Amino acid sequence: MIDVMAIKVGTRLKLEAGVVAEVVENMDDGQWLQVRYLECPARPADVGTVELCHAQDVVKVLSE
Amino acid sequence: MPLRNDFDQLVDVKGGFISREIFVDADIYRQELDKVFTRAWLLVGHESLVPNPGDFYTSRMGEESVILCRDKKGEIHVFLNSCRHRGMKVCRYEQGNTSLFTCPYHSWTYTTDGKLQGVPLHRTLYDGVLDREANSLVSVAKLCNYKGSIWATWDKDAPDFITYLGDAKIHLDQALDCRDGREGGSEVIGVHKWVFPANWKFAAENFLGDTYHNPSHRSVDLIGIGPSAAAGKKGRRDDELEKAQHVWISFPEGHGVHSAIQPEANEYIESFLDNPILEKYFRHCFEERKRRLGEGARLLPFVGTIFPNTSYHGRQPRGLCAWHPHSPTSTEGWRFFLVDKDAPKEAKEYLRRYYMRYSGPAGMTEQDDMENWLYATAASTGTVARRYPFNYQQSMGAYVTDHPLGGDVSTQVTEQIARGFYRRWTTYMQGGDWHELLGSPAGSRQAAE
Repeated sequence: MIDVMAIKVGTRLKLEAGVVAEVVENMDDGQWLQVRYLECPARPADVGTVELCHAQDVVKVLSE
Repeated sequence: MPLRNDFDQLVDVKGGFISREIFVDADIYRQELDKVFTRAWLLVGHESLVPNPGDFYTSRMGEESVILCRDKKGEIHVFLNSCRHRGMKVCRYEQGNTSLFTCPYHSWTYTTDGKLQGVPLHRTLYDGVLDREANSLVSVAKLCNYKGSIWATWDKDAPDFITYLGDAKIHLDQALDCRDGREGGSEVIGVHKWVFPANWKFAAENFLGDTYHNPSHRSVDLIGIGPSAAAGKKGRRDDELEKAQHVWISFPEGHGVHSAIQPEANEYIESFLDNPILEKYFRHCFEERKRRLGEGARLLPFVGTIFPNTSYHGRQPRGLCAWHPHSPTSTEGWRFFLVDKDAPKEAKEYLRRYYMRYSGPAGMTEQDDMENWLYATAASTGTVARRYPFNYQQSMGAYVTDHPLGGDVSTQVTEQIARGFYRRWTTYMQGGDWHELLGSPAGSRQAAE
């Protein structure tokens, strides 16, 4: 289980559906991160989109 | 379930009798929630409770929890406090500051402008199906920030708030405006909240202008709890209205007020005898108000109820009340205490203590009121008691309809205001259109057209 409270802005994450994203804001509620999509295999047009990302969507921390 | 004609029998304003059923019956109560509380304009709170972006204050409309919040752009919203997924409250705090409202159940998350922003596993579970825009928090149909007080209605067809107030506006203004006559400029310095076992209409009716219940406060009056009590003044407040012509007014929208018109020689009456700083401050406010408003400064507020469940005290103490229904025989009372935002700190602190002495569950006066509302409710639930209606025959016909203040104006203590309130309550319960709800007889619009 990944503790999203500890994830810092700038961290790269691997998310569900093969998405790779960068954290732009930690909402500090233990559940939500604001992320910018860097890779989005299913919808390449979504690259650059800023979305809320839930802790359950985080598959892996790629880099800090 | 009562039929349309049944309400005319339950509420006989011509004869002056009102059935106890409307104060205790569970089915009538359920209909009130649907027919009154989803249509009328209701007081939600005050802008000073949410001064900064992200500030929220959970309130109520009828039985339902709503969130009053200021979004990050500074705009004020009122939302139903219920997740669009499974209905859990998305906000379980009374007030605070946040950037997101996250439902504790499945974590659907909304921004402070109500938009559904976060859905866990959105791309894997809802991809291409969930329309987030269409699943925003449910917003009220109309919202009005009136001189800082926040009002809302669920009815998209409701008239604007000023039209809804009608001629009661000038009286409510007296409670909301600065003491020196500037418009608005008030802030809430505290809120009392308590639950009492009585029907909400007892409280609303009490503040319409039921001056007749003064004897129930006799013990408080003998002791003296007003601002000058320490200087030996008796009563609940000081004597600033003692030379005034009191007026009791029933408005066609169902509102009712008790106000006072000062004599032409409108001079300041000392009202804060035990505190020279307060006395100087309020004397200054009085003179400034007279200079700003001229003849209009002669009108002073006492109490009033804006239909259905918002009341105010206009002078001593000064505040807004919301009577939130919990059940036919249970109500949650809220008192928002008001002061001028730019009043001296000492004045605010002094008034805060006076408000506590006067109002709320531990206040000297409200205890008297609640004892009456509680026992009247309890004593009206019995099988035999329900057979006997309440008497509302006081001062029948003793009013004029051509007074410059509008409405039915009486210069003696009267239940005309209560009769007007329940007449309009009946129109709501019978599903009247807005033309009728604002006081025009049924069918008159069609006739006029």
